[in-house]
Amino acid sequence: MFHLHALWPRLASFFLFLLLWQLGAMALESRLLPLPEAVFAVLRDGFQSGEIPHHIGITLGRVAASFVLAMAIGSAIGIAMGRSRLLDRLFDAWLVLFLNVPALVVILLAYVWFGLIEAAAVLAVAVNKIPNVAVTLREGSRALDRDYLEMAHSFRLGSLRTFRHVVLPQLSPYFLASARSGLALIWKIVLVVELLGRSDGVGFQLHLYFQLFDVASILAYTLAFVAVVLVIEAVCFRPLDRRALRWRR
Amino acid sequence: MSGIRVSLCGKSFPDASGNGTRQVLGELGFAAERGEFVAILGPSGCGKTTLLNLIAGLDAAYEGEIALDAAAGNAAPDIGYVFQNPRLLPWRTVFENVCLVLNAPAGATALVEKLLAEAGLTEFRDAYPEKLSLGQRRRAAIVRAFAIAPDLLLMDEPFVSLDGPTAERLRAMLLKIWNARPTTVLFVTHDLDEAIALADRVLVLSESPASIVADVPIAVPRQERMAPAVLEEFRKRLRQPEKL
Repeated sequence: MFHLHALWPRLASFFLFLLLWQLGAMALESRLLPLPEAVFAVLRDGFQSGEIPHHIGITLGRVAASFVLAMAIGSAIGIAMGRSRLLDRLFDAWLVLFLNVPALVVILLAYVWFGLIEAAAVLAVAVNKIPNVAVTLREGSRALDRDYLEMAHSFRLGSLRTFRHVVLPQLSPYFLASARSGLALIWKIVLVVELLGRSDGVGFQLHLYFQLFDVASILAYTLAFVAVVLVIEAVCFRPLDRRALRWRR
Repeated sequence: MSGIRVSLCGKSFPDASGNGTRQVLGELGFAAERGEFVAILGPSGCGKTTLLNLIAGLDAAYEGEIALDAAAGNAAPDIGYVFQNPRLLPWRTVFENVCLVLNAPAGATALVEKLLAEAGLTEFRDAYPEKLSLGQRRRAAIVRAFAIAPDLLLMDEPFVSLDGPTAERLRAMLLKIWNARPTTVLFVTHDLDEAIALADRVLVLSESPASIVADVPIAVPRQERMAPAVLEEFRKRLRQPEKL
């Protein structure tokens, strides 16, 4: 997975980024753009005290819950709409509506209607992502190959075997695509949800440090969380990609 | 094993413009005995594939009747279908593709291995279809159809667009497997010689809307059919109706 010849350009670009940051901070000499070493000091202290892992863990839990919820509900809606022209005609306008409701509105309404509780936060994030998943999976199930479905029908595979062996493998690229874009979207929305109505998590901490004008801490949290997301991408999505495509020539 | 009786009054599709309909099959009737190998010969685009799809139950919108008399005790007859394009699932290996269609996969894997060996596919057992040649994929599709011990076997130009010697080998393989596991076969082709080489009986279809214009039994043992005089005789009898 990590071959040296593929690794060095990534390392080089990382150090180039640090260098530019260092030079920029030195030139500005401002409290508003701290030096990399100041940010890394905050990171180290945060990890030693356990504060950063605690809040990242809480945020990740919310991300995971909303992600699972959004993928499950969104896929079910998308597949149903892709397979049934009637359902598609009935609910297409709803989908467009929900796609275009601003995330902030959904979050505010969820808190107003259900109170400042955990379930409202997770639900608000999931509702923001469900229409995207549904649209992608609807596209996928419209693109199902009729030839294979006919084969399944004539050999009388039954709906369960057809779904598992004929339909799901054709949908897996669409699942992966919406899971990827879903993770990126969801963790950003989770931060907003936390900022508006939770008393822990990365979003809450960022809000706190924003009020203190503590840019070093804001950057420390950002770096730590982005790193976690990159690890998830490398550990979960890339192997899944390879697995999904191993049969291709 | 199942015989089949087909009596269609017609089959139409909506035409390209969307308002009218285009008739593909006309009045068309025939029957096949249990264990009979019937070739259905007709020009390209005359509706041969449509006919097989109706028999396979893929399309229920037709006028007429299609009746299969399954062997006693078997409620719904098993139909094996070898499509023109092999339609193996690209994300499953050859072996998985064949096992997928079995009703009771537990006991039948030995049969699958045996069929794969007879088709010369043992070494490709765990290969994905995209790594195989067209001829190999066609063989795998034939193995898949025989693996369910079908009451009726539908074959839609299974040897088209293969080179001559490969098609020849696959025909021999098909006859060998079929002789060992006799079943009723409807074999669609546009190749005169192929129909003569394989079938007990050849039905000749007209241009679309298709109807049957000739019903010619090939009452000569298969190994004697390639003699030039015999071949020429049957070619003549099968070509004749096309001129009418």
